[in-house]
Amino acid sequence: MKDQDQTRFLLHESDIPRFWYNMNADSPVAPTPVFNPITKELITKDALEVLFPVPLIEQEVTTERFVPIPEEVREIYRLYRPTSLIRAHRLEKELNTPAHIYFKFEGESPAGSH
Amino acid sequence: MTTETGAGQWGSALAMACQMFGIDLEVFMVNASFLGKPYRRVIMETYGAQVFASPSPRTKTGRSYLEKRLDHPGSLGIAISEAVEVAAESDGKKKYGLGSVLNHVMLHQTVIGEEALKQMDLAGEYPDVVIGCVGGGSNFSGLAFPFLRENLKNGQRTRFLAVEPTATPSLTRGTYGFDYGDSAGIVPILKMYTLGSDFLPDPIHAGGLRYHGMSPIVSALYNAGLIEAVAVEQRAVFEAGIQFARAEGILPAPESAHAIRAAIDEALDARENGEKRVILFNLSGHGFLDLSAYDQYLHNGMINGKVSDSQLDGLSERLPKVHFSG
Repeated sequence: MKDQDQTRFLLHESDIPRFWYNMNADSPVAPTPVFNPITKELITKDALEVLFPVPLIEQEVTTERFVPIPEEVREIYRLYRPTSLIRAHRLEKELNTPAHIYFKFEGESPAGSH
Repeated sequence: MTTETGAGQWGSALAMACQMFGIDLEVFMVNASFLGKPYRRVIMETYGAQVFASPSPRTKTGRSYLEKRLDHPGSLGIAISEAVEVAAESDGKKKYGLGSVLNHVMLHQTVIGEEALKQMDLAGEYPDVVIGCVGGGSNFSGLAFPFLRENLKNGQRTRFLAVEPTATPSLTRGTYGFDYGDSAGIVPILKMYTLGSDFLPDPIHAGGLRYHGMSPIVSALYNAGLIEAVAVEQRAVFEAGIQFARAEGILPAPESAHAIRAAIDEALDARENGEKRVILFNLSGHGFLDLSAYDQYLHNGMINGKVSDSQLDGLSERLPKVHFSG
């Protein structure tokens, strides 16, 4: 039996995702090219490395569908993830709507947002 | 590391992360927010970051804007230029991290949607529509992309709705083309819906959404008709935020209140049509540091941000010309 009044849907720490999902792996639209702002030619890895940390560049262009989340990062996620999914019963009532309204509350993070 | 921040949310998050991983951080914070949301600066400093109002006298880019106007409100595009300039001129000692737009930022945010998929399952329901506010697109993408995967791979038929301010309507009124990701034209050129890298948005309170462009992935999906977009007025956004706070107790960030506006409108539309629609939106952050904005709405006659047609005249001719043979 499902509790029709349940308001918060909570996961366990062990449910913290182990992978980030790469939309580009499944998108029917091919990733669009990136250009060097000075030369206006296609950007090179060297030019990106001047600005960005190398692992982020690798993640930027990866074709993998799922990218493993480093354990050190999951350790920090444990401080506040998984965040709550909440059903806005009271707002539904106020709007007198047959719709069911759910929200993911990323304001639970220590910094206050996603 | 160096970075930009609009209303200060991304800067706070990166400041916390840098502290925990033992990395120094310099944050260029859009001046309009630096002045309007001083406690955000204090949070970043508490986490150990150095915070500068942008435009700042620390960079060539910043000085060029300050020469024109000492009280320049700044923009995300300008703050990005400053953070990039500092990294580019550091002989490899400093690296730049962008808070939205790029693929790897969308990637990191997908933990939101992966968790939400499991939680909707706990609720025994599945969303008919998924909603998020968009500036550069990161919180929207984080919630939406795992559900979009289910559409593409497993035959689900969820709609996706990106909500932007009428003050920075890149998806609904911008041009789809190649443009600089920043104001000074020193970060890579991306294909995106853009209002032009020289576009200076009205200083609305949802500082995190005051960006001229849009994530290339979100742009491509929107262009392909896989996601929808709507622009909403600032006053209607705060009306929704306050209605939500009074019903649910949570005081939302002005950015998140854009998603709430659209969620309420979907719920009212479902009522009109007598439909049981399942709506899922991202409440991307709380609004405890945005109380001056709520104060203005409640007491001091907040105005709507807007963009005139003349601001967008000849936009496609003004975009940089890339050497593209494909």
